[in-house]
Amino acid sequence: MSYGYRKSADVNVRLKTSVHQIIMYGILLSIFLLFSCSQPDYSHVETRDLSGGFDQPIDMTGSLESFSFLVLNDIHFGREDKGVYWKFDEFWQWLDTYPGSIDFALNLGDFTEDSQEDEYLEYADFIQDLANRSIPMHTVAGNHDIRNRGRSYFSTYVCAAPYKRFAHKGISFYMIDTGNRSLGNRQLEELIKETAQDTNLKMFCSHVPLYGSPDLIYFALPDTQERMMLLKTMVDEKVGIYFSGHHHSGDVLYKYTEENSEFIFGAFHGRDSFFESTLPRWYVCTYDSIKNSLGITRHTVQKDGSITEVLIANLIMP
Amino acid sequence: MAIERKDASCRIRCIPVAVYLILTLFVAPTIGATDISLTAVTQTFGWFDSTTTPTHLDGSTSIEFSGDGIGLDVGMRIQLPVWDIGLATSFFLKDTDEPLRNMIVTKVHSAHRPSFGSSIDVVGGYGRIINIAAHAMDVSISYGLGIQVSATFMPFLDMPLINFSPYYDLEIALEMFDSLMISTSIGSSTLFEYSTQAMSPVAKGSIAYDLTDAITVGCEYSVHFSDILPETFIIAKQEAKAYVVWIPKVS
Repeated sequence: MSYGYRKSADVNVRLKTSVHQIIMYGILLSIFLLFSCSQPDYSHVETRDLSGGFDQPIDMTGSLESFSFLVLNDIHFGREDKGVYWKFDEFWQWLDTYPGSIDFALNLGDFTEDSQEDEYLEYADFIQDLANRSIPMHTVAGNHDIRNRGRSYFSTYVCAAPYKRFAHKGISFYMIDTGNRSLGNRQLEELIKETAQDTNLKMFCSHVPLYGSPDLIYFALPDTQERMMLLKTMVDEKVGIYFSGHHHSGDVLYKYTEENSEFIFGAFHGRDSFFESTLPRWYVCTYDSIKNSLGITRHTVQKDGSITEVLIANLIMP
Repeated sequence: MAIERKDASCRIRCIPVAVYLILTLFVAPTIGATDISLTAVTQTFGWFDSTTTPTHLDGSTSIEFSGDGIGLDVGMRIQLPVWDIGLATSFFLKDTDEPLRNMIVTKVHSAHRPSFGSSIDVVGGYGRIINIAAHAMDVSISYGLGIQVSATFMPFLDMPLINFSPYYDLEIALEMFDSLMISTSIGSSTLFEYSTQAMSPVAKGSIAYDLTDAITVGCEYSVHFSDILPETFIIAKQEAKAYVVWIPKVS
Protein backbone atom coordinates (compact mmCIF):
# COMPACT_ATOMS: atom_id res chain seq x y z
CA MET A 1 0.00 0.00 0.00
CA SER A 2 2.93 2.32 0.65
CA TYR A 3 3.69 2.58 -3.02
CA GLY A 4 7.27 3.12 -3.94
CA TYR A 5 8.18 3.37 -0.30
CA ARG A 6 11.05 1.24 0.91
CA LYS A 7 12.01 1.61 4.49
CA SER A 8 15.23 3.60 4.90
CA ALA A 9 18.16 1.71 6.32
CA ASP A 10 18.71 4.04 9.20
CA VAL A 11 15.40 3.22 10.82
CA ASN A 12 16.39 1.77 14.09
CA VAL A 13 13.50 2.08 16.43
CA ARG A 14 14.23 -0.31 19.23
CA LEU A 15 11.46 -1.05 21.59
CA LYS A 16 11.40 -3.58 24.32
CA THR A 17 11.01 -7.10 22.98
CA SER A 18 8.02 -7.74 25.19
CA VAL A 19 6.16 -4.85 23.58
CA HIS A 20 6.87 -6.26 20.13
CA GLN A 21 5.70 -9.65 21.15
CA ILE A 22 2.48 -8.23 22.53
CA ILE A 23 1.87 -6.32 19.30
CA MET A 24 2.65 -9.34 17.17
CA TYR A 25 0.51 -11.66 19.24
CA GLY A 26 -2.25 -9.04 19.16
CA ILE A 27 -2.16 -8.84 15.37
CA LEU A 28 -2.12 -12.60 14.94
CA LEU A 29 -4.92 -13.01 17.47
CA SER A 30 -7.00 -10.33 15.72
CA ILE A 31 -6.57 -12.06 12.37
CA PHE A 32 -7.48 -15.40 13.91
CA LEU A 33 -10.58 -13.96 15.58
CA LEU A 34 -11.60 -12.14 12.42
CA PHE A 35 -11.68 -15.34 10.42
CA SER A 36 -12.91 -17.66 13.15
CA CYS A 37 -15.80 -15.75 14.71
CA SER A 38 -18.08 -15.94 11.68
CA GLN A 39 -17.82 -19.76 11.57
CA PRO A 40 -19.09 -20.06 8.01
CA ASP A 41 -19.93 -23.34 6.40
CA TYR A 42 -17.38 -23.39 3.61
CA SER A 43 -18.78 -26.54 2.05
CA HIS A 44 -20.74 -24.49 -0.44
CA VAL A 45 -17.97 -22.09 -1.39
CA GLU A 46 -17.18 -22.74 -5.01
CA THR A 47 -13.96 -21.62 -6.55
CA ARG A 48 -15.22 -21.55 -10.11
CA ASP A 49 -18.79 -22.26 -10.93
CA LEU A 50 -22.22 -23.68 -10.36
CA SER A 51 -23.58 -26.66 -12.22
CA GLY A 52 -26.82 -26.13 -14.04
CA GLY A 53 -27.67 -25.39 -17.63
CA PHE A 54 -29.45 -23.03 -19.98
CA ASP A 55 -29.96 -25.88 -22.43
CA GLN A 56 -33.64 -26.54 -21.72
CA PRO A 57 -35.44 -26.97 -25.05
CA ILE A 58 -37.47 -23.90 -25.91
CA ASP A 59 -39.78 -22.95 -28.72
CA MET A 60 -38.02 -20.51 -31.03
CA THR A 61 -40.59 -20.69 -33.82
CA GLY A 62 -43.59 -19.15 -32.11
CA SER A 63 -44.65 -15.61 -32.85
CA LEU A 64 -44.76 -13.01 -30.11
CA GLU A 65 -48.01 -12.63 -28.19
CA SER A 66 -49.05 -10.13 -25.54
CA PHE A 67 -49.17 -11.36 -21.95
CA SER A 68 -48.67 -10.31 -18.33
CA PHE A 69 -46.61 -11.79 -15.54
CA LEU A 70 -46.14 -11.08 -11.87
CA VAL A 71 -42.75 -10.11 -10.41
CA LEU A 72 -41.84 -10.13 -6.75
CA ASN A 73 -38.62 -10.42 -4.80
CA ASP A 74 -37.00 -10.08 -1.39
CA ILE A 75 -39.83 -11.70 0.54
CA HIS A 76 -37.38 -12.74 3.29
CA PHE A 77 -39.46 -15.38 5.07
CA GLY A 78 -38.16 -15.58 8.62
CA ARG A 79 -36.82 -12.06 8.80
CA GLU A 80 -37.08 -10.61 12.31
CA ASP A 81 -35.37 -7.26 11.85
CA LYS A 82 -37.00 -4.26 13.37
CA GLY A 83 -39.84 -2.75 11.37
CA VAL A 84 -40.17 -5.57 8.81
CA TYR A 85 -43.73 -6.55 7.94
CA TRP A 86 -45.67 -8.36 5.23
CA LYS A 87 -49.10 -7.89 3.71
CA PHE A 88 -49.85 -11.42 2.54
CA ASP A 89 -53.63 -11.17 3.01
CA GLU A 90 -53.77 -8.03 0.91
CA PHE A 91 -51.58 -9.67 -1.71
CA TRP A 92 -53.78 -12.79 -2.06
CA GLN A 93 -56.94 -10.71 -2.06
CA TRP A 94 -55.49 -8.47 -4.76
CA LEU A 95 -54.42 -11.48 -6.82
CA ASP A 96 -57.84 -13.15 -6.52
CA THR A 97 -59.57 -10.01 -7.76
CA TYR A 98 -57.00 -8.96 -10.38
CA PRO A 99 -58.97 -8.18 -13.53
CA GLY A 100 -56.33 -9.28 -16.03
CA SER A 101 -54.69 -12.58 -16.74
CA ILE A 102 -51.35 -13.43 -15.15
CA ASP A 103 -49.53 -16.21 -17.01
CA PHE A 104 -46.75 -16.88 -14.48
CA ALA A 105 -44.73 -15.30 -11.69
CA LEU A 106 -41.05 -14.48 -11.33
CA ASN A 107 -39.30 -14.38 -7.99
CA LEU A 108 -35.96 -12.59 -8.13
CA GLY A 109 -34.50 -14.09 -4.97
CA ASP A 110 -34.00 -13.58 -1.25
CA PHE A 111 -37.24 -15.36 -0.39
CA THR A 112 -35.59 -16.56 2.84
CA GLU A 113 -33.72 -14.62 5.46
CA ASP A 114 -31.06 -17.15 6.37
CA SER A 115 -31.53 -20.17 4.08
CA GLN A 116 -33.17 -22.18 6.88
CA GLU A 117 -35.29 -25.19 6.01
CA ASP A 118 -38.41 -23.82 7.71
CA GLU A 119 -38.04 -20.65 5.64
CA TYR A 120 -37.75 -22.73 2.48
CA LEU A 121 -40.87 -24.64 3.52
CA GLU A 122 -42.77 -21.38 3.95
CA TYR A 123 -41.69 -20.36 0.47
CA ALA A 124 -42.70 -23.78 -0.91
CA ASP A 125 -46.18 -23.17 0.54
CA PHE A 126 -46.21 -19.75 -1.13
CA ILE A 127 -45.36 -21.34 -4.49
CA GLN A 128 -48.12 -23.90 -3.93
CA ASP A 129 -50.65 -21.15 -3.17
CA LEU A 130 -49.76 -19.54 -6.48
CA ALA A 131 -49.92 -22.89 -8.28
CA ASN A 132 -53.41 -23.41 -6.83
CA ARG A 133 -54.34 -20.23 -8.70
CA SER A 134 -52.80 -21.64 -11.89
CA ILE A 135 -49.80 -19.33 -11.67
CA PRO A 136 -46.49 -21.19 -11.96
CA MET A 137 -43.56 -19.56 -10.20
CA HIS A 138 -40.03 -19.32 -11.61
CA THR A 139 -37.40 -18.49 -9.01
CA VAL A 140 -33.75 -17.48 -8.82
CA ALA A 141 -31.75 -17.69 -5.61
CA GLY A 142 -30.53 -14.59 -3.82
CA ASN A 143 -27.59 -14.16 -1.50
CA HIS A 144 -29.80 -14.89 1.51
CA ASP A 145 -30.96 -18.18 -0.02
CA ILE A 146 -27.59 -19.87 -0.50
CA ARG A 147 -26.14 -19.77 3.00
CA ASN A 148 -25.19 -23.00 4.72
CA ARG A 149 -27.37 -25.72 3.13
CA GLY A 150 -29.37 -23.22 1.09
CA ARG A 151 -28.46 -24.57 -2.34
CA SER A 152 -29.47 -28.04 -1.27
CA TYR A 153 -32.84 -26.77 -0.03
CA PHE A 154 -33.23 -24.78 -3.23
CA SER A 155 -32.91 -27.91 -5.36
CA THR A 156 -35.24 -29.82 -3.03
CA TYR A 157 -38.04 -27.31 -2.51
CA VAL A 158 -37.78 -24.82 -5.37
CA CYS A 159 -36.03 -26.01 -8.52
CA ALA A 160 -33.53 -28.74 -9.27
CA ALA A 161 -31.30 -26.44 -11.32
CA PRO A 162 -29.83 -23.24 -9.86
CA TYR A 163 -30.16 -21.55 -13.25
CA LYS A 164 -32.34 -22.32 -16.23
CA ARG A 165 -34.36 -20.82 -19.06
CA PHE A 166 -37.89 -21.09 -20.31
CA ALA A 167 -39.83 -19.53 -23.17
CA HIS A 168 -43.30 -18.10 -23.07
CA LYS A 169 -45.24 -16.72 -26.04
CA GLY A 170 -42.11 -15.99 -28.03
CA ILE A 171 -39.94 -14.56 -25.25
CA SER A 172 -37.10 -16.45 -23.57
CA PHE A 173 -36.55 -15.87 -19.86
CA TYR A 174 -33.08 -16.65 -18.52
CA MET A 175 -33.12 -17.26 -14.77
CA ILE A 176 -29.59 -16.33 -13.73
CA ASP A 177 -28.08 -17.35 -10.39
CA THR A 178 -26.20 -14.38 -8.94
CA GLY A 179 -26.48 -15.41 -5.29
CA ASN A 180 -22.70 -15.29 -5.00
CA ARG A 181 -22.60 -11.83 -6.63
CA SER A 182 -21.08 -13.51 -9.65
CA LEU A 183 -22.31 -15.96 -12.25
CA GLY A 184 -19.24 -18.12 -12.06
CA ASN A 185 -17.35 -19.35 -15.05
CA ARG A 186 -19.60 -22.13 -16.28
CA GLN A 187 -22.88 -20.25 -15.95
CA LEU A 188 -21.44 -17.23 -17.76
CA GLU A 189 -20.07 -19.36 -20.59
CA GLU A 190 -23.34 -21.23 -20.98
CA LEU A 191 -25.38 -18.05 -20.90
CA ILE A 192 -23.32 -16.49 -23.69
CA LYS A 193 -23.39 -19.70 -25.73
CA GLU A 194 -27.12 -20.39 -25.39
CA THR A 195 -28.28 -16.81 -25.92
CA ALA A 196 -26.27 -16.71 -29.15
CA GLN A 197 -28.29 -19.66 -30.45
CA ASP A 198 -31.64 -18.41 -29.18
CA THR A 199 -33.41 -16.25 -31.74
CA ASN A 200 -36.22 -15.17 -29.40
CA LEU A 201 -36.52 -11.84 -27.68
CA LYS A 202 -34.93 -12.41 -24.27
CA MET A 203 -35.15 -11.18 -20.70
CA PHE A 204 -32.54 -11.80 -18.00
CA CYS A 205 -33.82 -12.42 -14.47
CA SER A 206 -31.31 -12.13 -11.63
CA HIS A 207 -31.16 -11.28 -7.97
CA VAL A 208 -28.13 -8.98 -7.95
CA PRO A 209 -28.36 -5.91 -10.20
CA LEU A 210 -26.03 -5.49 -13.15
CA TYR A 211 -25.39 -1.79 -12.62
CA GLY A 212 -28.45 0.21 -11.61
CA SER A 213 -26.97 3.57 -10.79
CA PRO A 214 -23.71 5.09 -9.49
CA ASP A 215 -24.86 5.10 -5.88
CA LEU A 216 -25.45 1.35 -5.63
CA ILE A 217 -22.26 0.98 -3.62
CA TYR A 218 -22.80 -2.61 -2.57
CA PHE A 219 -25.79 -3.77 -4.54
CA ALA A 220 -24.47 -4.68 -7.99
CA LEU A 221 -22.20 -7.24 -9.64
CA PRO A 222 -18.64 -6.24 -8.76
CA ASP A 223 -16.60 -7.75 -11.59
CA THR A 224 -16.08 -5.20 -14.35
CA GLN A 225 -15.23 -7.80 -16.98
CA GLU A 226 -18.25 -9.94 -16.09
CA ARG A 227 -20.50 -6.90 -16.31
CA MET A 228 -19.05 -5.99 -19.71
CA MET A 229 -19.62 -9.51 -21.02
CA LEU A 230 -23.23 -9.50 -19.82
CA LEU A 231 -23.89 -6.09 -21.31
CA LYS A 232 -22.40 -7.06 -24.66
CA THR A 233 -24.54 -10.21 -24.63
CA MET A 234 -27.61 -8.10 -23.92
CA VAL A 235 -26.95 -5.77 -26.83
CA ASP A 236 -25.81 -8.42 -29.32
CA GLU A 237 -28.40 -11.08 -28.52
CA LYS A 238 -31.73 -9.21 -28.25
CA VAL A 239 -31.92 -9.14 -24.48
CA GLY A 240 -34.39 -6.36 -23.85
CA ILE A 241 -34.16 -6.12 -20.11
CA TYR A 242 -32.22 -7.27 -17.06
CA PHE A 243 -34.57 -7.72 -14.08
CA SER A 244 -33.11 -7.73 -10.59
CA GLY A 245 -33.90 -7.21 -6.92
CA HIS A 246 -31.55 -7.16 -3.89
CA HIS A 247 -31.79 -3.40 -3.46
CA HIS A 248 -34.91 -3.20 -1.31
CA SER A 249 -35.75 0.41 -2.12
CA GLY A 250 -35.79 -0.61 -5.76
CA ASP A 251 -37.63 1.12 -8.60
CA VAL A 252 -34.32 1.89 -10.32
CA LEU A 253 -34.44 2.05 -14.11
CA TYR A 254 -31.32 2.37 -16.22
CA LYS A 255 -31.37 2.46 -20.01
CA TYR A 256 -28.13 1.16 -21.51
CA THR A 257 -29.46 1.80 -24.99
CA GLU A 258 -32.90 2.62 -26.37
CA GLU A 259 -33.69 -1.09 -26.47
CA ASN A 260 -31.67 -2.53 -23.59
CA SER A 261 -32.54 -1.63 -20.02
CA GLU A 262 -32.23 -2.73 -16.44
CA PHE A 263 -34.94 -2.50 -13.83
CA ILE A 264 -34.44 -3.14 -10.10
CA PHE A 265 -37.62 -4.16 -8.31
CA GLY A 266 -38.37 -3.15 -4.72
CA ALA A 267 -38.84 -5.61 -1.86
CA PHE A 268 -42.07 -7.55 -1.39
CA HIS A 269 -41.97 -6.93 2.34
CA GLY A 270 -42.33 -3.52 3.87
CA ARG A 271 -40.09 -1.99 6.48
CA ASP A 272 -40.54 0.94 8.75
CA SER A 273 -37.19 1.61 10.34
CA PHE A 274 -34.35 4.08 10.42
CA PHE A 275 -32.35 2.04 7.92
CA GLU A 276 -35.09 1.27 5.46
CA SER A 277 -38.49 2.80 4.87
CA THR A 278 -40.39 0.91 2.21
CA LEU A 279 -43.96 -0.20 1.62
CA PRO A 280 -44.86 -3.77 0.55
CA ARG A 281 -44.80 -3.99 -3.25
CA TRP A 282 -45.15 -6.32 -6.18
CA TYR A 283 -45.21 -5.69 -9.89
CA VAL A 284 -47.06 -6.73 -13.01
CA CYS A 285 -45.13 -6.65 -16.27
CA THR A 286 -47.07 -6.61 -19.50
CA TYR A 287 -45.53 -7.35 -22.86
CA ASP A 288 -47.36 -5.68 -25.75
CA SER A 289 -46.59 -7.59 -28.94
CA ILE A 290 -48.03 -4.88 -31.19
CA LYS A 291 -45.85 -2.10 -29.79
CA ASN A 292 -43.04 -4.52 -28.88
CA SER A 293 -42.85 -2.85 -25.48
CA LEU A 294 -42.80 -3.91 -21.86
CA GLY A 295 -44.84 -2.05 -19.26
CA ILE A 296 -43.91 -2.33 -15.59
CA THR A 297 -46.69 -1.53 -13.12
CA ARG A 298 -46.07 -1.29 -9.37
CA HIS A 299 -48.72 -2.29 -6.85
CA THR A 300 -48.06 -0.87 -3.38
CA VAL A 301 -49.88 -1.54 -0.12
CA GLN A 302 -50.26 1.83 1.55
CA LYS A 303 -50.34 2.41 5.30
CA ASP A 304 -54.15 2.50 5.27
CA GLY A 305 -54.31 -0.90 3.58
CA SER A 306 -55.29 0.39 0.16
CA ILE A 307 -53.34 -0.78 -2.86
CA THR A 308 -52.16 1.80 -5.35
CA GLU A 309 -51.16 1.10 -8.93
CA VAL A 310 -48.52 3.10 -10.79
CA LEU A 311 -47.05 2.56 -14.25
CA ILE A 312 -43.31 2.81 -13.57
CA ALA A 313 -41.91 2.29 -17.05
CA ASN A 314 -42.81 1.46 -20.59
CA LEU A 315 -39.78 0.13 -22.40
CA ILE A 316 -39.16 -0.56 -26.05
CA MET A 317 -37.79 -4.05 -26.66
CA PRO A 318 -35.25 -4.99 -29.37
CA MET B 1 -26.45 3.44 -35.89
CA ALA B 2 -23.41 1.76 -37.44
CA ILE B 3 -21.66 5.12 -37.78
CA GLU B 4 -22.45 5.99 -34.18
CA ARG B 5 -20.99 2.70 -33.03
CA LYS B 6 -17.85 3.24 -35.10
CA ASP B 7 -17.41 6.66 -33.52
CA ALA B 8 -17.97 5.24 -30.08
CA SER B 9 -15.49 2.48 -30.80
CA CYS B 10 -12.90 5.09 -31.77
CA ARG B 11 -13.54 6.86 -28.49
CA ILE B 12 -12.97 3.62 -26.60
CA ARG B 13 -9.70 3.00 -28.41
CA CYS B 14 -8.56 6.51 -27.53
CA ILE B 15 -9.02 5.93 -23.81
CA PRO B 16 -5.83 3.88 -23.22
CA VAL B 17 -3.88 6.44 -25.22
CA ALA B 18 -5.37 9.19 -23.09
CA VAL B 19 -4.45 7.33 -19.94
CA TYR B 20 -0.89 6.84 -21.17
CA LEU B 21 -0.68 10.56 -21.83
CA ILE B 22 -2.12 11.44 -18.45
CA LEU B 23 0.30 9.09 -16.73
CA THR B 24 3.20 10.45 -18.69
CA LEU B 25 2.21 14.03 -18.03
CA PHE B 26 1.70 13.25 -14.37
CA VAL B 27 4.68 11.03 -13.76
CA ALA B 28 7.32 12.87 -15.76
CA PRO B 29 6.93 16.25 -14.05
CA THR B 30 6.77 14.57 -10.67
CA ILE B 31 10.04 12.80 -11.31
CA GLY B 32 11.60 15.85 -12.87
CA ALA B 33 10.50 18.30 -10.24
CA THR B 34 11.69 16.39 -7.22
CA ASP B 35 14.83 14.53 -6.29
CA ILE B 36 12.97 11.32 -6.90
CA SER B 37 14.99 8.28 -7.86
CA LEU B 38 14.43 4.80 -9.14
CA THR B 39 14.29 2.35 -6.27
CA ALA B 40 13.07 -0.91 -7.76
CA VAL B 41 11.98 -2.62 -10.94
CA THR B 42 9.72 -5.62 -10.55
CA GLN B 43 8.97 -8.21 -13.20
CA THR B 44 6.31 -10.82 -12.54
CA PHE B 45 5.34 -13.98 -14.36
CA GLY B 46 2.30 -15.88 -13.30
CA TRP B 47 -0.90 -17.71 -13.82
CA PHE B 48 -4.45 -16.63 -13.23
CA ASP B 49 -7.91 -18.10 -13.35
CA SER B 50 -11.14 -16.13 -13.17
CA THR B 51 -14.86 -16.44 -13.70
CA THR B 52 -14.52 -14.56 -16.96
CA THR B 53 -11.23 -15.98 -18.26
CA PRO B 54 -10.12 -19.61 -17.98
CA THR B 55 -6.65 -20.40 -16.74
CA HIS B 56 -4.07 -18.27 -18.50
CA LEU B 57 -0.55 -16.93 -18.12
CA ASP B 58 0.15 -13.31 -17.38
CA GLY B 59 2.98 -10.92 -16.69
CA SER B 60 3.58 -7.44 -15.41
CA THR B 61 6.32 -4.88 -15.04
CA SER B 62 6.30 -2.16 -12.45
CA ILE B 63 8.78 0.52 -11.53
CA GLU B 64 9.09 2.13 -8.13
CA PHE B 65 10.42 5.61 -7.50
CA SER B 66 10.88 7.33 -4.20
CA GLY B 67 12.10 10.65 -2.99
CA ASP B 68 11.73 13.07 -0.20
CA GLY B 69 8.18 12.61 0.93
CA ILE B 70 6.91 10.78 -2.10
CA GLY B 71 6.69 7.22 -3.29
CA LEU B 72 5.49 6.23 -6.72
CA ASP B 73 4.73 2.92 -8.38
CA VAL B 74 3.83 2.70 -12.05
CA GLY B 75 3.32 -0.46 -14.02
CA MET B 76 1.69 -2.39 -16.79
CA ARG B 77 0.14 -5.83 -16.72
CA ILE B 78 -0.80 -8.06 -19.61
CA GLN B 79 -3.49 -10.46 -18.51
CA LEU B 80 -5.15 -11.26 -21.80
CA PRO B 81 -7.68 -10.29 -22.89
CA VAL B 82 -7.14 -7.38 -20.52
CA TRP B 83 -4.34 -4.81 -20.59
CA ASP B 84 -3.85 -2.90 -17.34
CA ILE B 85 -1.93 0.25 -16.57
CA GLY B 86 -1.58 1.26 -12.95
CA LEU B 87 -0.15 4.21 -11.10
CA ALA B 88 -0.05 4.60 -7.35
CA THR B 89 1.50 7.32 -5.27
CA SER B 90 2.09 7.91 -1.60
CA PHE B 91 2.59 11.52 -0.54
CA PHE B 92 3.99 11.46 2.96
CA LEU B 93 2.80 14.23 5.22
CA LYS B 94 5.63 16.37 6.54
CA ASP B 95 4.56 16.44 10.16
CA THR B 96 5.20 12.74 10.59
CA ASP B 97 8.36 10.71 10.57
CA GLU B 98 9.51 7.17 11.28
CA PRO B 99 8.29 4.90 12.71
CA LEU B 100 4.80 6.26 12.01
CA ARG B 101 4.08 8.12 8.82
CA ASN B 102 0.84 9.48 7.50
CA MET B 103 0.28 9.77 3.80
CA ILE B 104 -2.13 10.66 1.05
CA VAL B 105 -2.63 7.75 -1.29
CA THR B 106 -3.70 8.24 -4.90
CA LYS B 107 -4.16 5.58 -7.54
CA VAL B 108 -5.13 5.57 -11.19
CA HIS B 109 -5.84 2.41 -13.11
CA SER B 110 -6.93 1.78 -16.66
CA ALA B 111 -7.96 -1.57 -18.07
CA HIS B 112 -8.46 -2.04 -21.77
CA ARG B 113 -10.47 -4.96 -23.07
CA PRO B 114 -10.27 -4.89 -26.88
CA SER B 115 -13.55 -6.78 -27.49
CA PHE B 116 -15.58 -4.96 -24.88
CA GLY B 117 -14.28 -1.53 -23.95
CA SER B 118 -12.22 0.15 -21.28
CA SER B 119 -12.46 1.11 -17.65
CA ILE B 120 -10.74 3.66 -15.46
CA ASP B 121 -10.50 3.60 -11.67
CA VAL B 122 -9.31 6.51 -9.55
CA VAL B 123 -8.63 6.29 -5.83
CA GLY B 124 -7.93 8.97 -3.28
CA GLY B 125 -7.35 8.15 0.35
CA TYR B 126 -5.55 8.65 3.59
CA GLY B 127 -3.05 6.07 4.75
CA ARG B 128 -0.73 5.35 7.60
CA ILE B 129 2.35 3.17 7.82
CA ILE B 130 3.96 2.02 11.04
CA ASN B 131 7.42 0.48 11.11
CA ILE B 132 8.65 -1.35 14.16
CA ALA B 133 12.08 -2.91 14.40
CA ALA B 134 12.73 -5.75 16.83
CA HIS B 135 15.81 -7.89 17.39
CA ALA B 136 15.52 -10.14 14.37
CA MET B 137 12.38 -8.85 12.76
CA ASP B 138 11.02 -5.65 11.30
CA VAL B 139 7.29 -5.24 11.20
CA SER B 140 5.47 -2.91 8.89
CA ILE B 141 1.77 -2.28 9.19
CA SER B 142 -0.05 -0.03 6.77
CA TYR B 143 -3.65 0.79 6.26
CA GLY B 144 -5.71 3.23 4.28
CA LEU B 145 -9.21 4.49 3.75
CA GLY B 146 -10.67 6.57 0.98
CA ILE B 147 -12.94 6.66 -2.00
CA GLN B 148 -12.84 5.03 -5.41
CA VAL B 149 -14.50 6.22 -8.57
CA SER B 150 -14.77 3.85 -11.51
CA ALA B 151 -15.93 4.46 -15.04
CA THR B 152 -16.66 1.82 -17.64
CA PHE B 153 -16.72 2.74 -21.32
CA MET B 154 -18.31 0.50 -23.92
CA PRO B 155 -18.77 1.29 -27.64
CA PHE B 156 -22.55 1.05 -27.55
CA LEU B 157 -23.04 3.13 -24.41
CA ASP B 158 -23.63 6.84 -24.85
CA MET B 159 -22.56 7.47 -21.27
CA PRO B 160 -19.98 5.58 -19.21
CA LEU B 161 -21.16 3.55 -16.24
CA ILE B 162 -19.96 5.35 -13.13
CA ASN B 163 -19.50 3.68 -9.75
CA PHE B 164 -18.53 5.16 -6.40
CA SER B 165 -17.25 2.87 -3.70
CA PRO B 166 -15.09 2.96 -0.59
CA TYR B 167 -11.36 2.29 -0.78
CA TYR B 168 -9.77 0.32 2.02
CA ASP B 169 -6.48 -1.47 2.50
CA LEU B 170 -4.63 -3.27 5.27
CA GLU B 171 -1.19 -4.78 4.91
CA ILE B 172 1.14 -6.45 7.36
CA ALA B 173 4.73 -7.20 6.36
CA LEU B 174 7.40 -8.97 8.36
CA GLU B 175 11.09 -8.77 7.46
CA MET B 176 13.28 -11.35 9.11
CA PHE B 177 17.00 -12.07 9.15
CA ASP B 178 17.52 -9.00 6.90
CA SER B 179 16.66 -11.06 3.85
CA LEU B 180 13.28 -12.74 4.18
CA MET B 181 10.02 -10.86 3.87
CA ILE B 182 6.51 -12.20 4.39
CA SER B 183 3.49 -10.04 3.80
CA THR B 184 -0.26 -10.36 3.71
CA SER B 185 -2.89 -7.84 2.76
CA ILE B 186 -6.56 -7.34 2.13
CA GLY B 187 -8.08 -4.40 0.36
CA SER B 188 -10.46 -3.10 -2.22
CA SER B 189 -7.77 -2.85 -4.90
CA THR B 190 -4.14 -3.43 -5.80
CA LEU B 191 -2.03 -1.74 -8.44
CA PHE B 192 -3.84 -3.63 -11.22
CA GLU B 193 -6.80 -5.35 -9.59
CA TYR B 194 -10.01 -3.41 -9.10
CA SER B 195 -13.71 -4.04 -9.00
CA THR B 196 -16.61 -1.70 -9.44
CA GLN B 197 -17.99 -2.56 -6.02
CA ALA B 198 -15.66 -2.35 -3.03
CA MET B 199 -17.26 -5.17 -1.07
CA SER B 200 -15.37 -7.71 -3.13
CA PRO B 201 -11.93 -7.60 -1.55
CA VAL B 202 -8.60 -8.78 -2.87
CA ALA B 203 -6.54 -10.78 -0.38
CA LYS B 204 -2.96 -11.72 -1.03
CA GLY B 205 0.08 -13.18 0.61
CA SER B 206 3.66 -13.12 -0.57
CA ILE B 207 7.08 -14.29 0.45
CA ALA B 208 10.30 -12.78 -0.85
CA TYR B 209 14.00 -13.44 -0.35
CA ASP B 210 16.91 -11.09 -0.98
CA LEU B 211 19.35 -13.05 -3.11
CA THR B 212 21.77 -10.15 -3.17
CA ASP B 213 21.63 -6.47 -2.31
CA ALA B 214 20.31 -5.83 -5.79
CA ILE B 215 18.11 -8.83 -6.52
CA THR B 216 15.08 -10.08 -4.64
CA VAL B 217 12.97 -13.02 -5.70
CA GLY B 218 9.56 -13.92 -4.43
CA CYS B 219 6.18 -15.44 -5.05
CA GLU B 220 2.68 -14.25 -4.41
CA TYR B 221 -0.78 -15.74 -4.30
CA SER B 222 -3.90 -13.61 -4.40
CA VAL B 223 -7.63 -14.16 -4.55
CA HIS B 224 -10.37 -11.76 -5.52
CA PHE B 225 -13.60 -12.59 -3.73
CA SER B 226 -17.02 -11.95 -5.23
CA ASP B 227 -18.40 -10.74 -1.90
CA ILE B 228 -17.13 -9.74 1.50
CA LEU B 229 -19.49 -12.07 3.36
CA PRO B 230 -17.94 -15.51 3.96
CA GLU B 231 -21.28 -17.29 3.63
CA THR B 232 -21.89 -16.13 0.07
CA PHE B 233 -18.64 -15.41 -1.70
CA ILE B 234 -17.00 -17.39 -4.44
CA ILE B 235 -13.49 -16.80 -5.66
CA ALA B 236 -13.92 -14.61 -8.71
CA LYS B 237 -10.23 -14.67 -9.55
CA GLN B 238 -7.08 -16.28 -8.27
CA GLU B 239 -3.52 -15.50 -9.25
CA ALA B 240 -0.18 -17.10 -8.51
CA LYS B 241 2.99 -15.40 -9.60
CA ALA B 242 6.72 -15.38 -9.19
CA TYR B 243 8.65 -12.17 -9.32
CA VAL B 244 12.10 -10.71 -9.52
CA VAL B 245 12.93 -7.30 -8.11
CA TRP B 246 15.99 -5.37 -9.18
CA ILE B 247 17.03 -2.75 -6.66
CA PRO B 248 19.55 -0.29 -8.10
CA LYS B 249 22.33 1.01 -5.93
CA VAL B 250 21.59 4.42 -4.50
CA SER B 251 24.59 6.70 -4.71
